[in-house]
Amino acid sequence: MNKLGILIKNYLLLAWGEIKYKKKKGGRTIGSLALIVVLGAFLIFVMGSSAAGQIYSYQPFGMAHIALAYSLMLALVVSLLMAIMRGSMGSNTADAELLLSLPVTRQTVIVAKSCSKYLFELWPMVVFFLPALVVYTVIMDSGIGLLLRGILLVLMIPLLSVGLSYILNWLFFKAGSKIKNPQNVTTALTMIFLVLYLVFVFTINSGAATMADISELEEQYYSFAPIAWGTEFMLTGSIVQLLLFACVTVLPFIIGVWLYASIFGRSHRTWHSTKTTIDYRSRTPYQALLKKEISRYFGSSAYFINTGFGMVMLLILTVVIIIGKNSFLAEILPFLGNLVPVIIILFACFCIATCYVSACSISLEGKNLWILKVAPVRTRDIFLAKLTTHLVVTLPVTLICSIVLVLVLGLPAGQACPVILLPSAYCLLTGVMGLVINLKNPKMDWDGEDKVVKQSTAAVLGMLCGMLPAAIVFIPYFVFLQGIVSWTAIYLIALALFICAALIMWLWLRDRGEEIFEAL
Amino acid sequence: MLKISHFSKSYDSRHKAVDDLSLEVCSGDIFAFIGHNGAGKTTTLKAVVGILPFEEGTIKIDDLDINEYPLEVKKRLAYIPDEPKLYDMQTGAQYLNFIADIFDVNAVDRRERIEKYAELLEIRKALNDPINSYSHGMKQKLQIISAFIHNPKLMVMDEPFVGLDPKAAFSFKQLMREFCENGGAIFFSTHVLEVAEKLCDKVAVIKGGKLIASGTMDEVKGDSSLEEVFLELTEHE
Repeated sequence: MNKLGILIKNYLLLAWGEIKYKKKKGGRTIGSLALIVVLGAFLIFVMGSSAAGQIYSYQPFGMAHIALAYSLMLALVVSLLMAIMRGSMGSNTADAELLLSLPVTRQTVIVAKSCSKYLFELWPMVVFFLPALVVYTVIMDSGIGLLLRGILLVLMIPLLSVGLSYILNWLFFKAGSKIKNPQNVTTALTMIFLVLYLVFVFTINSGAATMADISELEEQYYSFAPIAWGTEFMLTGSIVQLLLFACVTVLPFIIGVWLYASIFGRSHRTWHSTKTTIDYRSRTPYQALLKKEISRYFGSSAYFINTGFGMVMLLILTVVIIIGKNSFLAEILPFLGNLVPVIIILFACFCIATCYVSACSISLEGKNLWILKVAPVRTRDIFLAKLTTHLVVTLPVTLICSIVLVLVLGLPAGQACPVILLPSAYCLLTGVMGLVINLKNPKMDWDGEDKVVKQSTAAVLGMLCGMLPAAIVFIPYFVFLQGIVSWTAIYLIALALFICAALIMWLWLRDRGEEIFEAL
Repeated sequence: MLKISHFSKSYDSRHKAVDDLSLEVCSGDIFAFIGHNGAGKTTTLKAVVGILPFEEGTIKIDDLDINEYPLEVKKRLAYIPDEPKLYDMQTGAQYLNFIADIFDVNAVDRRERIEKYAELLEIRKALNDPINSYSHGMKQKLQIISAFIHNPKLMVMDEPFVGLDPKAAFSFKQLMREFCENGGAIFFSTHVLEVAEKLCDKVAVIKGGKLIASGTMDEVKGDSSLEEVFLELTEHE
């Protein structure tokens, strides 16, 4: 095997090792693999079903190909998102020095890295785009030609993701010496991108619901040129459209690899302060812990983006309701009646659950845990600082959105109080629950924050379990108790349950939780 | 100052990382703790500073048991681990202020100490830079300043000289002597036996979790060099 092959094989083995050797207990490898396979199969099923639904809806209008355009849009968006996420992780991997010291050319290393990156970025395309392509080919009986052209696009899209991530790596490398915290720029960029994506999806979907002429939908998708180029290439096989699509995928890849090669292995020049004075103000130990937690939260793009997006969604919902109250929601809101506050509460609870700030906070101490352990501070103060950070992130946005929605919708006191109080109590509950979950599922040994905030058991459980309390209260109500128990009673039960559960878990933290933390 | 009595620690049921270890570090002592890799040095040091829970034996600092009065004991301690694992997202000054806040050091004292030690270790100009831009040695210097910031009674250090440049190592040795002359005590592990021999008044040798020699430097090494004695002890015991 040549050296390129050896390097690529090594990267694949490393990925396998991530699954196999990171688990401490035997038997988990199969479990992790099974989970990945099941999740992948589920996503393929969802994407395929969704495409089938779209095809059958648009087929009578002769617009079935909109399903292809939609899937292509989704694949491109996922690809851009991955590029931003990977771009923010820095240009120099831990193995750069090792690889450059080996008798392998620099070009071989760069090609191997790019190939392995490409392979890892290929599978999301298989999940997000291929099912729609296959379903379209089968339902529309459009022949092998369309399928092959679609597969060619599947192979081209990851090039965009890899190329853009390299370009971002290069930009952050160059900006590193001029910006104090390039991570904040990444965070802001990612947030802007995600909001734009949500606005984009919302615009397209709301347009589809109200447009008299469905052909305008096609126009709307096609207003984004790469979607038009890709879809038209699949449908017609036009070489011009293929070349145009290649310009937005292959070209960024070539430029990205070239730029990445220019900085690979070069030592990172970080920002240096010109300030000579030091702020010596003193704080109490608790304030110091809280300041550290908050600066940690807002200073880490991986942490902030993955656990803060729920609040952005809540803000977007609020803006949508404010804008749509007198237009596209004008007929729906009166129809929903008493359900409006419940929908707001449930959506707010969902958004809060996706902000699992505290569920990662202990794991994120990682190798720095010793600093807290040797510090003369009470463990409960450490917990309290982490809980307060969770509340700082979730509570103000939740309160503002709740109050604004109450005022905009003119809800009476009986509905206004639960809309404000229940989500606020939920912030507290999810915060305490996150700490409990993290203590029970710590992941202290990690080599990248994203491993904790995206892939750890505590993060996944933090989000899923965060949705449970609202489900426990409201699902039985809708299934069994509707009409038997009044809304006021169910709101009071929910409030009491949220607060009591938070209190019980806090008491557990102060007793057993402290012991577990000290043994970490 | 530090009294370890019959301390044992095991990570699994078959093997004891440290077995029945007893020693005493008094005020004014610079006490070296030497042994092979994996002998149990770091385990002992971590137990002394309260990072590692243990079941057998007692560890007392200033007559206070670490298990009974962890916060009171930690207020008297400073710890420098073998690797400088610090908060990368903070600046050096922010980290030092964080440690000073945790130890309730007032603004006047922290200014005086940070300025003094940062100048001495030649890191003052970098204190407003993020820690992720620091070299290993600079991080080590930052750890040293943070150890002195609250004027502890006992310093526990794991390989503190690793990464320091010759001048910083010299300054640090001066600081260690000054600290102990003023009534403090230092308990540290090292593999650099020449440093231990010249700097320390007491030494303990650990092998396979068991203490095989302990006492004043003269008692342990006699007329030989510490290196010779160490090799002899660890090969023949």
